[in-house]
Order: sequence, then C-alpha cells, then structure tokens
Amino acid sequence: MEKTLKQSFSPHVRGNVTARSIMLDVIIALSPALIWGVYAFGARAAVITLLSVGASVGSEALFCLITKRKQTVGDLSAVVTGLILAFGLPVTVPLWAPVLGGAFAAVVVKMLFGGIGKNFLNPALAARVFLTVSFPAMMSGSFVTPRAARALSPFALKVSAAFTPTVLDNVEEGVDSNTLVDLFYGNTAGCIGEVSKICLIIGLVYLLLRRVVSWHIPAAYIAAFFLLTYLFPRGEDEAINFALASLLSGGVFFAAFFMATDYTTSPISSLGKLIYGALCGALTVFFRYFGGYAEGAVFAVLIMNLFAGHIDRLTMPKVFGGGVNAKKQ
Amino acid sequence: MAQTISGGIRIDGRKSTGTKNAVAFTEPRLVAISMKQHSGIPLIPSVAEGDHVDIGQCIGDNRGAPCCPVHASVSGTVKAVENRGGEVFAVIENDMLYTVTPELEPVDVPLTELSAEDIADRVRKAGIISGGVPACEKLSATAGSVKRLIINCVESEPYLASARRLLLEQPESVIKGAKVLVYALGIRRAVFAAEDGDKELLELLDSRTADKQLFSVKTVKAKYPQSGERELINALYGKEVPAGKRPEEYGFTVFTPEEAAAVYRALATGMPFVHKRITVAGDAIKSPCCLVVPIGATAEEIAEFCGGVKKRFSRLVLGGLMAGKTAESLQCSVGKGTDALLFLSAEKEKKNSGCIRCGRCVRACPMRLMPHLLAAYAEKGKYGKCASLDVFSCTECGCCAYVCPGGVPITEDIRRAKAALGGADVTGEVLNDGKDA
Ligand code: SF4
Ligand code: SF4
Repeated sequence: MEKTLKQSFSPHVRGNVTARSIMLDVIIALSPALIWGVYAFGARAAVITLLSVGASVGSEALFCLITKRKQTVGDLSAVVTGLILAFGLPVTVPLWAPVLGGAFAAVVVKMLFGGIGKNFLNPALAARVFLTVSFPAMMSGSFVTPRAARALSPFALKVSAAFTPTVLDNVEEGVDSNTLVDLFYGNTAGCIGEVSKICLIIGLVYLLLRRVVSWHIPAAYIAAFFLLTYLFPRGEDEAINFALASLLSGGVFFAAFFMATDYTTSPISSLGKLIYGALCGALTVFFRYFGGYAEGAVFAVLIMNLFAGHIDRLTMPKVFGGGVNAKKQ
Repeated sequence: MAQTISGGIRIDGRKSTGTKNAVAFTEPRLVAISMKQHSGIPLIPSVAEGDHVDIGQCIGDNRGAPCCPVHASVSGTVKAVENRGGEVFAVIENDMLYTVTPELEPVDVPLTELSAEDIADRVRKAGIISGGVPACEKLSATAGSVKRLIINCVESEPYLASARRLLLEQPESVIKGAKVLVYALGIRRAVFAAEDGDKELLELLDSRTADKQLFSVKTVKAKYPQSGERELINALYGKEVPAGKRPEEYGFTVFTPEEAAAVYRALATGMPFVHKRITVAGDAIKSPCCLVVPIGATAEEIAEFCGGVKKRFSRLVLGGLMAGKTAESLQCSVGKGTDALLFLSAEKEKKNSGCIRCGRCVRACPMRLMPHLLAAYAEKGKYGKCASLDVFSCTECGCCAYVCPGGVPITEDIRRAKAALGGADVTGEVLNDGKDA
C-alpha cells in the first residue's frame, strides 16, 4: 500500500469562479443591450460589434503569438473589451473604426501594460476616447434614428445618412414624458449598446445576482449624477425633468454599470467604490456642463481610472483587532 | 438571531459523515505518539525501548514549559523512541490486553471542595489539548479575568463533523465538563456556540432544560472560518482579539466539546486524554465516518479500518480541507490536534493566470487584510512591504486563495513571506523594519 503521497498547499480546494466564468457572466449581462441594439439599429450594428470583438480578440492573440507569451484570449476578457467598445459607437461609423479601436484597446492599452489586471486604464474606454479625440465628427453628432439606421447598408465601409441630434444634445430645451419613456426603452438615436436603459438594468441585475459586481459603484455614480443635475439644472424645464432626461440620455447608465465597474481600473474596498462612483458621477456632470463633447461619462470614468489606486490606498480597512501591533484595549 | 463575521466564505459542507454514529477503532497494531503535541514545545520522553506501558501511563512531559504531558493510548511494549524528521515519536506495539495504569486518580470529593488550582493541575496532568493552547493554560494563565466561556461546537471546515457527533452521542460528558470549567473559571454560565443550520444539535441543546442555569446557546451562520477562536468571538460578541494575543486577555476563553468532555473524564475517572475523535472522509476513502481512535494511530491502519482507499487516492490531508496540511506518508499518526484525515484524489489544478483585481480576496479575508497585495509583493520578494501590510495578522485560513478567480496561490505566497520575515518572530520589530524597507 506504500505509495508516495502528493503534496499540496492549503487550501486544498478551490472555488470554481474563474476569470473566464466572470467574463462569460459579463458577456451574458451585455447581451440584452446587444440584442436591443441590433433590433433597433439593424444589421450594421451587428457587423460593427463583430468587427470590434474580432479586432480586440484577434490582436490580443496575435500579440501573444508575436511576443511568445502565454495565450490569454481564453479568459474572454478581450471579447468583453470588444463588446464594450462597440456599444459606445454610433451605427454610422465607417467599418474601419471598430477594427482600429479594438486593436488599440487590446494592444496599446491592455497588452503593452502586461495584460489583464495590470493596465491602469480601461481598454475599451481608452480606445473610445482615442477615437473620439482623433475623429470627433465621426464619433459625435453622427447619430441616426433607429428607423434610419435600419435602412443603412450593413457591409458598406462608409455610409451617409441624415443625422439626427440626440436627446442629450438638446436636453436643456426640455423633454416630454413620451420622450422619457422612449429613452428608457431605447427607442431613440444614440450609440449601439447605450440606448436601451431597461436592457442595461437587466444586465446589471444579473451581474449583481451573480455577485460579479457589487452595487456600490453603480449606485454611487447614479445617485451623484442625479443629485447634481437635480440641484443645478439647466434650461427652463422643471429640475426633476431635466435630471431624469439627463440621466436617461447618453451613456450614464452604461458607464455606471459596465465601465466604472471594471475590476482592474476601479478601487477594491466598498468605501473606495462609493467614493469612486460618486466622483465619476460628479465628473460626468462637470464634463457635460463644461466640456467640449456632449457626452462626459467616458472622460469622467477614464480620468477616475487614474485615481483608483490612490482611493484604494486612502480607504484601506483597519486590520482585524488592529493587527499584530495592537495595544491592549 | 444567528450572527456572523465579516469576510469568510460559504463552502459546501460535505457533512455526510456527521449523520452516522462515531465508531470506535480500538485495535491498531501500533501507535506512534508524537512528543510534540503543541506547536513548538517538545516533550521529553519518559519511556525507553522495551518498556511495558499501560493505557493512561504518562510517557512524556516537559515541566516548566507551557505544555501538558502525553500518555500511552494502548497497552503494550515500547518498540522504539525515534526521531522522525525532527519530531520524536514513541512507538508502542499494542498487546491488545487494554490494561489500564493503576496511577489514575479519580476525584472522590464533590466538585466544590476542589480549588481552581486543583482543577487546572488535574487538567494539566490529563494532557488535554486539541490544537492551540493546552486546556490547563487557558484555565490558569489568566485566572480571574475570563468572563465568558464559549463551548465551540462550530465546525466550519468542510467534512469535519466529529465535534457535533460527540455532543449528540455523549451530551452528558460535554455538559458536565462545561460545568467543571464554569466552576473553575469562577463564572456563572457557559455559552454553547453552534451553527444555525444544525437543527439536530440545537434541538438537543434546547431539550436540556435541566441545565438552563448552566449554559445558553448562541448560533452563528454557517461560514468558514468561523470555528476559529478569534473569529467565533468576533461573530458572537463583535470583539476583535488581535493576532498574537490570547482571547483570555480579552475576557474570553474557548473550549472545544472534546476538551470539555476530556476535562470531565479526567476528573470523574482520572483517565487522561488518550482517545481522539476524528473525521475520516474525502473522495478517496471507501467508508468515510467519524472515529474514536487511540492517539498515535497511523493513517495506514485507519484507512484499512475504513474499508481501504480507492484507486484514485493521491493525497492525505491532516486537518481540514481549507487549512490542513498534506502528510508525507501513510505512516503519519493522529495527534491531539488532528481533527480529520482526508483521503483525497489528485487536486484539480487551478492555473495561476494572475490577479485581475476583482477584490474577492479582500472581501473574503476575515482579518481584513489585502491578500492580493500581499501575494503580489511576496511574489516579487518585497517582504518588507508584506510586513507593513500586517502579514502576520494572516491566519492562513485560505479563504483568499479559495475565492481567487485568477488562481493566485495567495495563501502559499503569504506563507513564504512570513517564513522569509522570520515566522516565529511575531513582534513589532519585524513590522517596523518592514516600514523602513
Ligand atoms: S489566508 Fe490570510 S490573507 Fe488570506 S483570507 Fe485568510 S487571513 Fe486573509
Ligand atoms: S481574488 Fe485573486 S484576482 Fe481577485 S483581487 Fe484577489 S488576487 Fe486578484
């Protein structure tokens, strides 16, 4: 019966959550919004999403191959990156834009910094900002209504269409309650994955139930945003209407649920998350009011990415019992 | 209301062994009794090769050190007193006669005629310890300052079920033991802590109305590592006893049901702590069960008694699945602190794919440390940083590594950092050095 026994280190059992299972959950959570996006904006939305995901995954795989690193695409995080990038694009962008953005996100923002967990900026966000800053006309002011979008050719490299201003562009002029309902369902001009708030909420609920993200960042983000827009409204409309319209138009929900909650670039402690979320919300309002672009959420979260580490350091919890140096009470 | 700690993990209990009565395994052919039943303090053997010993005879002690003696758990001949890798073992061949030493001194006066010192002294002589600190130390070291006695019936490690079996099968001895402890500590009552899901146990405790004066029951939610003394105190009373401090300094003392029962037995019959209750389980043992074995019984004979191991057997864990250690061979034996023998198949490897900063480890850490940072610094050899993050507060409970989706061997990394910093030296010195580094 003598046999050499295998040695292992405690714990001798591991939980079954893996990076891959988490990313799969995020993909599942993103799918209602994706389905809505394709339904509302037509086949071109699907093509753009596929290109973005393909470019992100493909360039990460290629990067690993060329640099002879361990292949990492299996963790599915590149798929998430591709999806999140595509969700923030107008359906009218030329088809090279998702490819360029996806490759930029994977290579420049993620892999050059050492891959998942080590990048200090959210790849999809940074790529979106990169595209916005490089091609402002393409990224903002090029929105079309769902009806017009469905008429677009899915595979044409470039399309031209009659652009419609989004609700966000004219939010100061006031909105009626029908528009608010449309905004909530996503029956409006906007980015592919950002328009349907109800789909995004379904996705968030799924992530919360699966304990992939905690409520702290989304709640603090939305609360801070709502409070500030309510206290300092613009335009003639009632404050509550303005705050609601601001909240439902543009990408606040998407940013609060899926961008600001990115593990790598947000703080870890609950208190840190509350602070981070609230600051993201406040900065979003700031950029919307005083920034050069209609949508401030992306810039707000990207800037807060830079402070995640500091917030973590400031909100480090006290060690149990005060630690080994504790004085007796 | 069930209470709980912050952090910790919910983990599949795998408690099927806890539904059957414990079985006594009395006839091992030989026992190997370690002279190191307490972390770090070796005992000096008082028997030599060829000696005859009877059950309950003292075979090793070390007066002057905070420890307690060990006794022969079977009768027979000492085959060897040998050093196995720094640990001295007395190997006794069982003559199967079960003769009991005549040295036993049961108490023949009412409890009230004994002083606390008498009791502590008898508890010491009986060699009662089950992991951690000897029972006698808990009774005598800080006499007078302890306000609460907790009987820890919480077994939060997967598989472990022998404490609850003891309570279900011999409630009398545990409760009487608690009575002795309450008396010796000069307090009014004991608190039995149990998991709120353990209905059978709670009903039993509830039914002991005659003892209502003696103890109350508090429940905790099922969560690992709530069976740890400091974690349990935190769950029940919200008090935090820092690492390296004894609960007694903070007015608490925690006994296991086994210790309580052993205290009672030591007084009533004079028989020292020679039988240990263990859980034998795992996916590679044919008939898992709770056992009562003579201390020193070897894993090999225990496995045989439990129907043998399955083909897929590849690892033997002494203790729990989360915090136990793998044994090097089946020749290893049961010590006073060995709560379980887990016969396991090969581990499903979880590849270390790196930290994704998900924060799960931070939420799981009952000591509120930053496990992901500790692991990252340890991996880079920056042990000073680990020290300034209070690495010595880590109890090595394993929660962080269990939850980590990146498969980072956090607990292992932390252990390495502690070893590099001088594990034994849990003092301010090391920490201050760390801050400068
Ligand atoms: S092993 Fe240490 S660091 Fe990890 S959860 Fe337990 S106490 Fe915290
Ligand atoms: S659980 Fe693992 S992946 Fe998550 S933060 Fe901790 S070390 Fe990193």
